[in-house]
Amino acid sequence: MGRHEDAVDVFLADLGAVPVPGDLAASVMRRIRDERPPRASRMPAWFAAAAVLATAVLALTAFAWIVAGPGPAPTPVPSTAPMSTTAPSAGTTQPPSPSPIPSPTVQPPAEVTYFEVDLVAEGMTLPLGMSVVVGDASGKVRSVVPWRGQHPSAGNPYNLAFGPGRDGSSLVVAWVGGGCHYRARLDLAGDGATFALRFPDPIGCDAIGIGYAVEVRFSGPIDVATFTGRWSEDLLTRADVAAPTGVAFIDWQHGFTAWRTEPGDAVILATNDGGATWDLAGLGVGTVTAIAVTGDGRAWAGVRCDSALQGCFPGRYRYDDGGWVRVDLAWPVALSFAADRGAALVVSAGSPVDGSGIQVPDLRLTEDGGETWTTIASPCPSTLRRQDVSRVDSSTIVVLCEADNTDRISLKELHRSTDGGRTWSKPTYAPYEGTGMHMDLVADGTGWMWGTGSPLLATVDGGLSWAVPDVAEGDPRSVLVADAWGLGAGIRLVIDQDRFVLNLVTTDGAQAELDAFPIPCCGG
Amino acid sequence: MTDLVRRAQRGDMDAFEELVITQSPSVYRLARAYVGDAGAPDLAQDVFAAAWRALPKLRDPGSFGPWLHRIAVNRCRSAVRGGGRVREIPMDEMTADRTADPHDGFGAVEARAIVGPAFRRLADDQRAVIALHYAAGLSIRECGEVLGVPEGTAKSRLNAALEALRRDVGRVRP
Repeated sequence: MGRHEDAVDVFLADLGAVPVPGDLAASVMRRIRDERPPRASRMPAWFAAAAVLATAVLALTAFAWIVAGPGPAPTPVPSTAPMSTTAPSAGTTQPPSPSPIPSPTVQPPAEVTYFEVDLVAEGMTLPLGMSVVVGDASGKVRSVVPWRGQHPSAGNPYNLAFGPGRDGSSLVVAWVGGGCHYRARLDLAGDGATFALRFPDPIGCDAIGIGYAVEVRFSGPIDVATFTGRWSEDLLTRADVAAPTGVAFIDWQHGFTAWRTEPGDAVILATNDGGATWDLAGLGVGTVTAIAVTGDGRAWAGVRCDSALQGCFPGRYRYDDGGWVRVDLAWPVALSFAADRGAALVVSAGSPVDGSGIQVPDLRLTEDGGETWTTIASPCPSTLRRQDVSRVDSSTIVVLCEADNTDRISLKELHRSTDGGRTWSKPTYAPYEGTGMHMDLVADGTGWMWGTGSPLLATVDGGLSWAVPDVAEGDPRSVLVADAWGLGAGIRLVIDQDRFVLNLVTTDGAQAELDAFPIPCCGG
Repeated sequence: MTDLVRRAQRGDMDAFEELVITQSPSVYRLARAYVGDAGAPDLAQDVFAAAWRALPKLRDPGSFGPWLHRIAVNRCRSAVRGGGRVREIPMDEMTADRTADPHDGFGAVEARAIVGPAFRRLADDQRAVIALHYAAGLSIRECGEVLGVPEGTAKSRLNAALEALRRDVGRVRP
């Protein structure tokens, strides 16, 4: 045994002692210089002149604005912006008629379309450096004028959105200046009715809250579908590494998958045809920690932020009319909705704003579809902070508690309540390996449990007993995320020869033929 | 370094090159821990290229180090999972550079052969904390920053990882 311990010590020492290739830094820089520069790369040559003009106009008009003072108040923010960061209020959380899945009919344009706004603001003084890059089949920048408004509050997430057709198809963008370099990005709604620009959150930056804005007028109507198509395309080609973080299906045909791309974008894709094709249903910065659908088909997601990510807004989001709307600031690590729309449950981290770190989660219940929440005592010991939860029906709740030490056979507990969380019991179940366990149960008692290094487990009695179904597993680590949606069947997201695919498994041992569709996220 | 990061965020490639020179040893060693000697240079390049593209997103220039290593860990995880572009080449299968590497004497090679498979069998988070601490040379606190956990959690995670590694090595080669 001592010899092997010595081997471990030598191995660890070797990890940090190996010499680094002398030409590594030079190779890195050659590669970066060979690649297209991030900002200038997508600027069409014909548009460079327009960008220069835009810069000049901006400088002049911004100067005029400063001299003349602020003008009218800004236009209100629509509630349908994707990953909208509008501050939540009672009025914004009323769910309209659900339309959870975007239309999949958007076609990419024949010509390259791209929109990007960069701003470099140096302290408080002019000149501002700015580039505006717009390219589409018909649009040219006609003018860039200052937005006559002042940022209402430094430190608040901020955005503006206008539907096409306003003031001759205009797009208004804004940002917070100061000593920051903000690279604003265009967010587009999937329904083709609105588009929006999300702004970085200035918290943590040395911005002092001076607001600038421009209004970019196009010479022709903006085809939002064109933008949407290009945006989707850009998304899928830009992210060359991605990891799935969630899957949630409403029925056989309609579902969502959540991904975290490298180095930090959250991507959600939706399908209307059982996974054969996928459309972008949301994009933001951060990690989608959980995604779930209610019985009436509305999707919910939680977004966590790594502290260093600019432009990330943690919170709980609801998918409405083709866009994600943040409804509160508490980012859930697990979401589970029963088939009854009036019964839902969320486990949320304790710190809603600073998403870093793992804190002791709260266990929260809702009986009104997620509008109001009540915190109840969690059955998990405080040492088992990694938790997942399933709301089977209005009275049955199952909570999975796991130690955060990520050991291969980490300490776990399973708790089950049949009275809405007032009392708990521990079901008897076979010990299992694995870490980072998750589970999903639905109203008929069907459920799944999965995790790294664990076989896929199934229950047919609402979590009272668990067994490994007779499903060809291959590498058990390939089971990344799963989702149960009743009738003894569940969706499983697996790696199959470097592709991410969906397939369908059943609790009776069959591996039904949903087919293995490749999911276009997000690798090259 | 903060000033370099700010300059790089504004597109100053000379500033970014200085950051690469400073950070490349730890990033390279981190990548090597995951994919071995043959794959490490390409993977390290991937990391810096990704960082360059994402640099405008970095809100706090002072957090560049943890942010870069978080990118590196994500890239490494993707690489060994098969979802990335870099193919995993187990370290214990590589012997071509033994003679060229003064640190790679018989003991190191044998240690790789014995411990390498067990290292690859560790859970993702365990492998990450070992690679960050021993290969990249980060402190426990810095490991916690990269992994998004408190320092105490990082420390306990590292201890658990080492225990699991030693236990696995002892079990596999009794």
